[in-house]
Amino acid sequence: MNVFIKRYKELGYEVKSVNLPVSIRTNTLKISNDELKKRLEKRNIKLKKIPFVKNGFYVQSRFSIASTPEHLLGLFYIQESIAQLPAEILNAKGKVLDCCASPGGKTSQLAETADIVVSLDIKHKRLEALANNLERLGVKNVIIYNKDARSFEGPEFDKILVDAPCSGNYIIEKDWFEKRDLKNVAEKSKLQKQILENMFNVLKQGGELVYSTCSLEPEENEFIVDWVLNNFDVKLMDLNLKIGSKGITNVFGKELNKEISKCRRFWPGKTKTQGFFIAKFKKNNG
Amino acid sequence: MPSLKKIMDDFVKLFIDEKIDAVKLGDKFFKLEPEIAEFKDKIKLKPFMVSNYMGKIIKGKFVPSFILLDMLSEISEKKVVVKDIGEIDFLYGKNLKKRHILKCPKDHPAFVLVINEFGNCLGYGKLKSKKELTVKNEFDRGDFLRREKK
Repeated sequence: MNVFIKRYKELGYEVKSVNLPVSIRTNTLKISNDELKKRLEKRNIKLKKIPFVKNGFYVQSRFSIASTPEHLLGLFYIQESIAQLPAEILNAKGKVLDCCASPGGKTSQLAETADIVVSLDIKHKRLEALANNLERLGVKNVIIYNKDARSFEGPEFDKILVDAPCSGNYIIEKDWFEKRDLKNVAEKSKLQKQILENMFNVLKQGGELVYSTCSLEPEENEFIVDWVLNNFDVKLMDLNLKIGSKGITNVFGKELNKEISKCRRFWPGKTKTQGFFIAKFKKNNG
Repeated sequence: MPSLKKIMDDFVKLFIDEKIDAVKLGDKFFKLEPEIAEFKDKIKLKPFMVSNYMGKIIKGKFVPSFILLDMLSEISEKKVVVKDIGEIDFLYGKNLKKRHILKCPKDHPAFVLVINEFGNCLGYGKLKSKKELTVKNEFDRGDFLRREKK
């Protein structure tokens, strides 16, 4: 049995395949949910509200929705349902930093309610896609930098989104189980810690940080949160979500901080989404 | 050789009388709101882009951003309104014919913004003869897909 499948079993999850439905998020800078629904239904595109996010719809269409006038006009963004959650949970206000930003789905979501969003991405090539998307969506309050989040220096931010680079999951990548090993997971885990360490430096006291990955591996999720709670003056916040399982506090025989149950883990077979993990921190005052 | 800013100003003048305050970063123009400009200065890095992007100059010709086209269409009277079928054709880079057009300005300007029935700006074009009433596609929002394919 594959090492990952065996580990998931130990954590109480039997691997199941899931067909992800196409989903979109309304660009509320340009249109309301109701108006968008009306316009797309005129083109025989069926929309069904995603119950756990504010502005998301599952889509049924016989043709590619990417080539519709509504997409080209920036009235919506094609975004997997669960990927719409981190920015929504952050509840962007004031000055916001999105530290691993391409291709821009979450940046544009943050920009809907923030005063200013600063977006970073280490890969120059990916910034073009980010810029193109922001232009299409009519976003006007984002500054983009080609910068590694581990070495970014700047003013302090009210809120930070760390949608961290991760090893991914078996739903979104073909042959994932064959391509990955525990060494990949350890490398990503190290990178995630380095990013978080620097992001807590630029987070204001009393500021909030959402950490998310599309990984199912505890080394990239619960172990990271445990490390943060042991090394930084922060507390974990409740996510108040009706979807997902509690973060695991006993992983492979190791007892972790009980607060970690406030995080949410999304097992694909249970949530009918891709694999995902979300935690929200608040930096203590002084 | 006109300045790059003049090339942008001349483009804007095709549709409105006002000028648009824009700053140049690399080969692109941006409209910087004071709060964004102030915050940008606190970060000691050269930005890749600021998102209130107005357009860029390619081979001496100004290529407007979708954001600038939206801004112009809110102010300008120089616009044609197209039917649904015309909307799709125009976004695929085609020219507009008389049968596509619902409404056209009476004074027949040289250049027009192309608007759908919901008031969204699809691009701009050159208005041809009064008799034939056609719009030559100069630039449209389908450019997003063309760029992504490159």
